Amino acid sequence: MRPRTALHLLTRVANKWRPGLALVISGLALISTVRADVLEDIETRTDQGVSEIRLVFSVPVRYLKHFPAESGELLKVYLQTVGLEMATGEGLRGYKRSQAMPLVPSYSVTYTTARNCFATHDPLCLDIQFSQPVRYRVRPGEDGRSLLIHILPDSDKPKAPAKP
Amino acid sequence: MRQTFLLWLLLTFAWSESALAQTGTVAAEHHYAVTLLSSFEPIPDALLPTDLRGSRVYRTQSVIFGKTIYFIRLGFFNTPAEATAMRDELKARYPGAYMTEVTPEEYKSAAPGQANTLAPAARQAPPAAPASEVTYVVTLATSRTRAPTPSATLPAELTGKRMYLYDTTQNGTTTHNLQLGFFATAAEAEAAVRLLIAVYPEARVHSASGQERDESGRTVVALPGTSSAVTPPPASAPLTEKTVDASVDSQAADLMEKSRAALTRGDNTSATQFLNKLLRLPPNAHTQDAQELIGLAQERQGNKTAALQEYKLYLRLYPEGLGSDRVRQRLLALEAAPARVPLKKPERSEAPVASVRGSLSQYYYYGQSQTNSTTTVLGPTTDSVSGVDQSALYTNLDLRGRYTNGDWDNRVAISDNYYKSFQDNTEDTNRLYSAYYETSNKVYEISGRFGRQPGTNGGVLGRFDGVTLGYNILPKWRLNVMAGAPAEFYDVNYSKSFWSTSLDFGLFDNHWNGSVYYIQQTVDGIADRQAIGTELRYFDPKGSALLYVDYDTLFGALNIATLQATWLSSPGTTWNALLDHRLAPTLMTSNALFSSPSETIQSLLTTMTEEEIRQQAAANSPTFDTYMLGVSHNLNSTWQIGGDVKRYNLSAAPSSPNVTTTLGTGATMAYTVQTIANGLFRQRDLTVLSLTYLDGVTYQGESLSFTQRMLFRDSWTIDLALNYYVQKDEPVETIILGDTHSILTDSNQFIPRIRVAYLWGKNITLEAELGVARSNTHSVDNNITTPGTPEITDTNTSRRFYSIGYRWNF
Repeated sequence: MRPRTALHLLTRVANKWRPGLALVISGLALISTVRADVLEDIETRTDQGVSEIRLVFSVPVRYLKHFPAESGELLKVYLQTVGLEMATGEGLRGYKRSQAMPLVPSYSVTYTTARNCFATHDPLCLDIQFSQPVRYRVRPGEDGRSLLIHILPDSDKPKAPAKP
Repeated sequence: MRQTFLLWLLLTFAWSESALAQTGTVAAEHHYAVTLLSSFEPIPDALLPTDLRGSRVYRTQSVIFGKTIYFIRLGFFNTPAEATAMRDELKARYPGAYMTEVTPEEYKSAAPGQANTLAPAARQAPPAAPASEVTYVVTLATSRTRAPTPSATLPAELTGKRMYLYDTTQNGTTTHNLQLGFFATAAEAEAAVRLLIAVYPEARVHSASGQERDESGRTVVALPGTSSAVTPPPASAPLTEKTVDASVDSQAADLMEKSRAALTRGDNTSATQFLNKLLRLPPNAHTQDAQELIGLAQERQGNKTAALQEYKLYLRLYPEGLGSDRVRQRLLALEAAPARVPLKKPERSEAPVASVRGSLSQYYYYGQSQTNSTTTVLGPTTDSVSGVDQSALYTNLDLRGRYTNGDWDNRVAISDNYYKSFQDNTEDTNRLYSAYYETSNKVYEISGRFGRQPGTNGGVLGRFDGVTLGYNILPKWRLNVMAGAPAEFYDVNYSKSFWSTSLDFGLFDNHWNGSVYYIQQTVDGIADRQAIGTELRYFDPKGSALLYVDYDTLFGALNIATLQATWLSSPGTTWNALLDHRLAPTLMTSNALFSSPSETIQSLLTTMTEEEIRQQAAANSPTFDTYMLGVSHNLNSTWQIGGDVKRYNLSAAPSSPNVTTTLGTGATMAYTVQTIANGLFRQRDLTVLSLTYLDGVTYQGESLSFTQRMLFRDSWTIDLALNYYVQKDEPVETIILGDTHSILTDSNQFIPRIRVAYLWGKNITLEAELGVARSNTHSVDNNITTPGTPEITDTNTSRRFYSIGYRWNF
């Protein structure tokens, strides 16, 4: 018997006398489940000390916002999944970690699609953790299915010269 | 005297190149520097070191991954070891410093004494921008369609000024400006305007940004000459300034970017291919540079004859200007050199490279819940249920392999999740998310992917088992074909297959790209889904927008129409908007099975016609409309505040042969405010607090969400999460045993959680999570038909859960 996930959830949301609570519970009850089907891959390349991280998603996404704006060790990015398939309400959580590369700080990406990560339709929230503070620029990929982060070492200002 | 000196210099340069070639080694070609500072923005003069004697400190900039990066470097060193030693010496002062191998071009332009050895270019090089922060320029002419050309030679009073092109964008419209700079004061610039106004009637004064000053050197326009008075335009304008079709220019820019990238990574063969394509286009802004670069690419491949032909062709086409001097030097050097090995040895990108990476993780999940329900009519009655609701081991394998060989890039991906349940009433399951092989050729621009893969375009829903093929039929136009069967993660008794084709286009005008597609899918031999669709995307440094439409031609209905936009209105302030209309789930004939006791389409066909089945499928696909407007603003480097307003509505589903009418949600409004703080409680933490108020037709709800990630030392990460939700329902009237009842319900839920992760070594992460979920529901049931004592029900549920596991990254 085919589970009727999408319709089942929507009907439940529509007809139950606790639609709001159902919405929240649906986002929390299954959040512990680890699955890896939204973030398809992470790719890193480097040139002249500049690194480009490309997060490749298995679904179309659109960029909403990120913080901190330009530098840090922890970066939070808010996206929204776009596409034909309606989210089932499951709170998915996934994790990927970069390979060690010369001159590129290692990083890990944790994502969740739980509704409570961001109060929007089909949210996709990313927690990116670098092994050291970096400066970055974040922008959506031009294919609509990726996110680009350009990385520089976090030292745009020299320290005072050592006194003789 | 001057010609003799030049000839001597050129011969010296030619001899040095020849000598290098004769050695048969490229070692002497390599020069190293220490990159002291790097930045996404121009680096202020104040940050330049002034006390590093004996070495060359210089500025440079590169376009890397499509972004302009600014560098301050210290050079030059003959070996990486020498540069690394210097880097180590300066590390305390410049923590981000790193050793860099510089290109020959950068070395030539920045090495001590090179200003003399490159005298011809140096003498004709445009004057440098002044170092002071506030400078002025004169905008001579502007155009939105093409780069303006110089209308006249300059008066002698303005000799030494730099004439260059500079593009500006306002409200999404790009304007090409012909600029003349730089002037220390506005008065000086105004005086220049008075000299130029007869020939450049639109001339006006602007202040110049640091970025404009830094970038001006790259877009210098060859000056027609100097005279004591304004003179008529030259007989022939530079070829690069000719009017060209915008789309040609855009294609040329794309090919130029690819060729430069190929040259940078040492892939001279690919660079030659891209440059040949570019040179077959009508003359455009990149033609001249491409003619020079193809000579360089041939030279680097050791194709002396071809390189000589390309350089000579360049000089016939462009006999004057900076580029011609440069090419003339290369030509002389190449002619003087004997048959030689490539100047640049095959780079690593041309040598086969293989890599494997991935992760293996295992997590054990446990959950135990207890529900106490007390119903009070005349006296309390209590029921209690408890038990283990989850006890399972998740094993996840993620594997990525890559093998590059010349122009070919081969990849393998495997991603699998196995769920082992330790409960009697739950089955073990395995989900294979990805198992595909992918290959692509960057020269022929073809690609293929085979196996289980994500369906990311072409209207394909989710993952599928099959094939995806792609080919660039024209620059910026890529044709894709997909065929296969949707991957089903549950037991189904029907069979689906599909084929789809899509045409990707762009990037056009540096802003637009998208795709159109057609898909046809069958289920058990009849049409399941036939749709056409499009994705249109707009990108700009200030924002992006997406239009997505999918129309089912089989049902004659709009599956989805969504318009989304993100806009950076000012530094730190981002707006986002969404207009979304969709059928949920997506229309398919097989949706009819949702409300049918039958499990196959074939069994449905024994009692219903195809038309009736599709009516039922449509009835099972209600519409879901969402409208949202949000904004976020960075108050400072610590705080971001934001909020959004959302309205959503799930429609009622009409009745069908086997289904009665399903109620919709009615319009629900959601108001959210959210703050994010960086380093709030300790230096390395990130805290998010969200408050949401829901106002629906049948209920009102409020939720609070608090999450915090904290880093301790180098290895520990702690995540705290707190969710609280409270809801008050409108009274619901229902009929029970012929009597009308009014039921009023209040409920709340509280979930605190903590997750701790420890990085053990470099590759293993140990992780544990602990949490509790408590919910309370208070319900009052009043019998309106036969008034009496209300029935009160209190339900309290408590669930404790934890997980523990490891992840091994390799």
